[in-house]
Amino acid sequence: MRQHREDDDLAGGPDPSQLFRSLAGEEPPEDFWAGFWPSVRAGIREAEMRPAWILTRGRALLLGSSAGVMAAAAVLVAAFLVVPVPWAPEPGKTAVVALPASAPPVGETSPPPVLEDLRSASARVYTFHVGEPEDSTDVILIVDESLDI
Amino acid sequence: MDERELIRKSQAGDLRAFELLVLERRAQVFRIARQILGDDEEAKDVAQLVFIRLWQSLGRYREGGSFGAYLHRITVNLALDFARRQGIRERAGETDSAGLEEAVAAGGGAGPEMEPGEIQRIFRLLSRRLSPRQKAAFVLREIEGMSTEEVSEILGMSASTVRNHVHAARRILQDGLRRLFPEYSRGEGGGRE
Repeated sequence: MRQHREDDDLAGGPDPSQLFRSLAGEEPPEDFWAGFWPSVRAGIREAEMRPAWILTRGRALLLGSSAGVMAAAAVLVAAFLVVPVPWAPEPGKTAVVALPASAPPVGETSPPPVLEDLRSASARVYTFHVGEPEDSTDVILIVDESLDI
Repeated sequence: MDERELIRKSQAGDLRAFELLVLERRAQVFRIARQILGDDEEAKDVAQLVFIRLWQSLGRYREGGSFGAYLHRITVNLALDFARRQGIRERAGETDSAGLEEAVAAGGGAGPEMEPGEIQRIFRLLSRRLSPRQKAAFVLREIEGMSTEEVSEILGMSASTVRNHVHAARRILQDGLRRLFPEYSRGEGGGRE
């Protein structure tokens, strides 16, 4: 049952509620429903047969962004904890890091310029080689636990 | 067999009982989805998804709660989600007044002797200007004739928010009717309560 309208102040114009109310009575013809229940039943069966660990496309999309971030974070953590970095300087020693100031012109193979000296006693430098061997890029990570961020 | 019995049996895994429940409820689910999506085939797809989702989640439905509200919440959520993914709102944003007027002109306008699909077409055109929540509130409250409290439960918002959405939707639709379908006046089609 409809309630008393508190917002019925659309005086002087056409009443959309009155006009569109007739849409509630519109029923599609019976043949419109042909195949409806079989499709629902097939969907139910498919959902029941799908193992719980297989993500639907929608759930996969939903989780995709956060899962990617989590995976990247996990790789970084693993790199810090597990991967030995033989050339990492001991804490307390000065490390000199070569960083490319800018991409060298194509064809030039000159070594990257020394960009900065690390004079922190606790700084460690990690280099990750990213990409194919013939077209790799170095990602250099400088970790300084004593740095107050 | 009444609906409560059908629900109980469906919860126990009786697919035959669930089929009867689907037969009982599919028209209303379809109507709500159609008013939100504006397309019969998309609404039918969503209605199928609604019943698949209902079957999967029937275990969470507790007897005593409103089954209609439970079912319609699934319907509205899936329809709004579908509309979002289909980019209906984005397309609607591009539909300015001129675009709507062209669409009305292309459809030949509305005459006093309307065919059944004509009102549907007008609603589809004018409701493009509504936000998803406004549209859902208007469809449930004004077209399906549910109470504000029912709509509030389905949409998960307060009664006053529902009233605000319905009021805003009516204003927007009235404005569209006045400008694009001036042949409609308040007196046409019978009075309101």
